[in-house]
Amino acid sequence: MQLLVFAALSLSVAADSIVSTQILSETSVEASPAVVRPHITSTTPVQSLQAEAMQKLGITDVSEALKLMNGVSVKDYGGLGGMKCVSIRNLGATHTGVLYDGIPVSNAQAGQIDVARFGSQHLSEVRIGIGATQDVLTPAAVESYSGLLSLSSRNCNQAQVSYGSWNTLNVSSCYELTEGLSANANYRHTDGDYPFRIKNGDTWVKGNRNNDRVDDLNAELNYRSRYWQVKGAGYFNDRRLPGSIILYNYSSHEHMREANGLLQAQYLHPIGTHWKLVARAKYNHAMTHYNDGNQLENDVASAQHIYNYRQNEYYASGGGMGMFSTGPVRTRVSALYDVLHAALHSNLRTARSVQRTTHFGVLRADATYRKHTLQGALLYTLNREKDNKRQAWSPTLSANLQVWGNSRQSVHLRWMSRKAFRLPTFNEMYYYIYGSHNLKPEQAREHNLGITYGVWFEGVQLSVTADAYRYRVDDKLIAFPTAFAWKVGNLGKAESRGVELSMHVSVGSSCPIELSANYQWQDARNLDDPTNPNTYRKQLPYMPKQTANGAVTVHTRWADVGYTMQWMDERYSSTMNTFRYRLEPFCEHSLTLSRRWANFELQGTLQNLTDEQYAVIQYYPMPGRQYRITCKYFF
Amino acid sequence: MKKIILFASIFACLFTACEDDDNDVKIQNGDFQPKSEAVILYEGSYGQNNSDLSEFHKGVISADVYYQANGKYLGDTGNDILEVGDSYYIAVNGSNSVVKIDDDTYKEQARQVVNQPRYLASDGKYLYVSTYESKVLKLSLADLSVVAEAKTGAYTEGLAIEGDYLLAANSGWGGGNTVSVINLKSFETVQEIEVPYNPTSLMATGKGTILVKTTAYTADYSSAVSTISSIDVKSQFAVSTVAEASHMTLSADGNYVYFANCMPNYTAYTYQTSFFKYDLGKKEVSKDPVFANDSISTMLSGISLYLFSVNPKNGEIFIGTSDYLTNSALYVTDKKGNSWVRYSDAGGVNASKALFD
Repeated sequence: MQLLVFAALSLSVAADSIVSTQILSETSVEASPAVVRPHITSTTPVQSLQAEAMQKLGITDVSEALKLMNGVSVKDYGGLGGMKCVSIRNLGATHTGVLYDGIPVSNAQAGQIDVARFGSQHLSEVRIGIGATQDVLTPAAVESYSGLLSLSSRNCNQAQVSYGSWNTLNVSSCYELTEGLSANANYRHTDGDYPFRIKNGDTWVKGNRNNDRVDDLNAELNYRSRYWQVKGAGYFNDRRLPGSIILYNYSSHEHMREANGLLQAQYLHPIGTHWKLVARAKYNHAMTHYNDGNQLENDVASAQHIYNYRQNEYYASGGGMGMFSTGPVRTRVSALYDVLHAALHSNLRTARSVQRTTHFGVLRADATYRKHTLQGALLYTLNREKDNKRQAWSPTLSANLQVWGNSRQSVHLRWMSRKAFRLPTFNEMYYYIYGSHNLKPEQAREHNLGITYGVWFEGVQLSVTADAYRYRVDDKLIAFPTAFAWKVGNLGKAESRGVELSMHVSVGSSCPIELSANYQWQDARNLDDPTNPNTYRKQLPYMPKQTANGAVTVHTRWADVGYTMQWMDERYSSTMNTFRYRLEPFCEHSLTLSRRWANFELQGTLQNLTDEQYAVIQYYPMPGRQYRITCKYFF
Repeated sequence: MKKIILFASIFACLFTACEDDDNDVKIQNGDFQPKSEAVILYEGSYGQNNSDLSEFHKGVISADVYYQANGKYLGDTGNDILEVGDSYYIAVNGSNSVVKIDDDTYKEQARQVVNQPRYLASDGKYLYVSTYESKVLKLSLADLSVVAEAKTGAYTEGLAIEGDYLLAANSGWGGGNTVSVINLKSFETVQEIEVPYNPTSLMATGKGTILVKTTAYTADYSSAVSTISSIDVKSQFAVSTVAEASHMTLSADGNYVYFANCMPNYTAYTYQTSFFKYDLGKKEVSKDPVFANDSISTMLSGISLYLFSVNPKNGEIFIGTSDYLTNSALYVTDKKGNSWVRYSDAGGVNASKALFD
C-alpha cells in the first residue's frame, strides 16, 4: 500500500513540479482522480481537476469545473446559451489566457473566451495556473496573462446521451480510430426557457426566460504521437440570446450564429538528454453573425442591427530549452518566439478590415536545488496595427522553498512578483464611436505569497495551501463618457488584495472519499477618481468579499456519489455600492449519482438542489433546480 | 521558526490598512442656498433598471422617490418627463412604458405599454409620445389609453408644440434629416421639413420658433458636432442655423436661450464646455455671459454636461454631469451666475431633466 501511495505522490509531484518539462496533455495523472487538487510544490498557485473527478461530479463543460476552483470566478449569464467567461482573481476575462492542448486559444475581437463551448467529456484535465507558468516551454503568447486556463484532451472510447430540464439534450462520443488517431463530437440542444424569480424593488416577480434556444456542435480529430500533437476542430452554434431582464419588458429578439474551424499542430523533439525543441502552428477561422432583433424593423441604412464578423488568426511559435546539472543544482533555460496575426473583417463602418500582428519573445530560466526552486521569465511584446505600435516588457520572478519536510510531509513557501498586461481588443479599438485607436495596454502589477503543506499517511493524502496576493491595475480600459456616447480610454485604476485557502483530502482505499474545499477573501477597490465619493475606494463590480466552494466524491460498491457546493457573498454590479446594485449572497448545491454495470453507466444529476434563485450578473437570473439523466457506454 | 515569522511579516505587509475617506457631498461658495423646488429624472444605465426620480427640496436632494413611494422600480431608461396638471408623465424607454404618477406623492396612477417611447409633449388636452416605431402616439391624459397615432420618419426623437402643430424629429438613427409636422387637429403628418442630419432634440421658444439640435459624426465616428437650427413655424417652417451647441434651455424671462457646448477631447480625455446666451429678439448671440462670475464658467468648463435647465420661476440654473456609470453631480447657480452649490450626487446615473414647481 505504501508503494501505491508513494507512486501516487510521485505522480502528483511530477505533474506540478517545474522538473516536468512535458506538455500539459502528457502530464495528466489519470491514476490520481483528485477532486480539485491544489499543487504544493509550484511557485505560484496551481489547481487541477482530472477527468474521473469531473465525471463523478456530473460536470459537463469547463465552466462547471472552474466554479470549483479557488480564485476563479465564472461570469455566468445563465442557462446553456449564456456566455461564461473565466476571470482569475477578478481581474476580468481579458486577463485570462486559455491553452487548448498546448496552443493558445484567442479572440482578438472580444478578448475573452466563452469557456462553456468546451465540453468536458473528452478532457483529461482542466488546470488553472495563477501568475507565472510552471512549464518553461509554455507558449510565449500566454506569458503576459495574469492567469492561465489549460485544457488537455485525451483519447477515450465512449458514447453518452443525456437529457434534462427544459428539453436539454446532449449527445457526445469519443473514439480512438487507430493508434494515436482519435475523434470526438458533442451536440447540445436546449429550449432554455427556465422559470425565474427576480426582485423589482421590494417585490418578487416571476417570469420565464424567452428567446433562449441553443444548438451547438463541436467536433475534433486528434493525432498524437511521441513527437506530434495535431488537432483539427470545428464548432458551430446557433443561439438566441435572452439578454438581461428589463423590468416590465421581458421580450428579447437577439440571435447569434457562430462557426469556427481550426487546425493546429505541436512538434516536440528532444535532442540528446539536454536539449528540446518545440514548434507550434495554428490557423483559426471564426465567423459570427449577430442580429440585434431588438432594433425595430425600421429599414434605415444607418440603423445597423445585423453584424457580421470574420476573423482569421495565424499563429506560429518556435523555441527550445536546455537542461543542465551542476552538482545538486539543476537548471533549465528556454527561449521562445511566437507571432500571432489576427485579421478582422466586418460590416461595421469603422472596422471593415483591421489587422494586428503581435510578436512575443520570452526567456525563461529556473533552477532547482534539492526541494527549492527559483524561476524567472522576461517577456517582450511588440504589437503593430495600422499606425500604432505598442511594446511592453513583462518580468516575472517566483520561487518555491521547502522550509521543512521529511518523507511523509513537507511545508513550502512560495512567492511571485510580476508585471502583466493585456492588449486592447478590436472591439475596444474599432467599435463605432465606442472604440479608440490610440489605446495603451492595460498594466497589472502582481505579488503573491503562499505557504503550502502536504502530508501522506497510509491511505490518507492531505494538502493545504494559503496564499495572499496584492494586485494593482493601471491604465485600466474603461469608458470615457462624452455628450454623445462613451468611448474607451486608459483611465482606470484598481487595487485588490486577498487571501485564498485551499484544502484537498483523500481518504480510504476500499471506499475512497475525496474532498476539496476552497475559501477566498478579497478586498478589491476602485481607485479611478478620487474626487468622486460615490465610487472612490468602493468595492469593484462583481467582486464578492468572500467566496467558498467544495466538492466531495465517494466511491461505494453500489454507486459513486458526487456533491458540489458553491457559495458567494454579497457583491455589487457597480462601483456604487448601494442597494440598487447589490446582489444577494447565494449557495448552490448539486448532487450526482453514478452506477456502472460492465460497459454501461447510468448517471443522475440534480443541480441547484435547493432551487436557489440567484444571479451572477445582475438581471441575468440563473436557472433553479434542474435534473439531468446521462447514459454512457464504454467501448 | 524565524523563517515562518519573517514570512508572516511579509504576508501581513500585503494588507496595509485601507481607509475610506468620504469627500464632502455638498460644496458651495458663499452662503447661497437654492430656492428651487424641483424633481429630477435620471435615466440610469442601459439594461440596469436604475432610472428613477430625485426630489430637490430646500436645497436637499432625496433620491429614488418613485421607488420609495411605490416599492418597485420605475424601469429601464426613463428618457423624458413632463408635468401636466397634477401628474408627471414619464417615457420609460427600455421598459416599453409610459407612466403617470402623482406629482405630490409620486404614487403610480397608470402605466401604458408603448414600444420604445422616447419623448413627450402635451397641449394640456392629450399626451403625445414619440417612438422608435416611426410614429407619434396620442394618449389620454387620464388613463394613458391610445387615442390616435400619426406616421412619422424612422427613429423619432424630440417633440415640440407651436400653435396647432406638433413637430417630431426623425433622427433615422443618425441617417434622418427631417422633422415631421403633425397637425394637432387632424393628428396627421402634413409636412416634412428638411434639416441637417440626425435631429434629436426640439425646443419651443414661445416666440413662434422651434429650435432643433442635430448631431453630425465624423466619418470614423471619432467625434461629433452638434448644431442648433431654428424652424420658423409662421414662415412656412423656414430653417436657419443658430449656433453650435450640445444643450439648450430657455431663460426665465423667455427672451434668451442659454446654450452650452460640451466637446470631448479624445486624446487628453478631457472636456471643454462653454456657455453662452442667444437673444431671441435680436436673433444673435448676446455679449452677456451666462455666468456673471467668471470663476463659475472656469469651474464648469471641464465638466461632462448632461442636464441643463433654468427654473422659469426664479432663474436658478441647474447643471448636471454624467459619466454614464455613476451618479451624476449637480451644480446649481443663482439667476445671474454669481454663486453656486455643487452636490456630488444628484440621486442617480445620467440625470437628464429637471422640472420645477
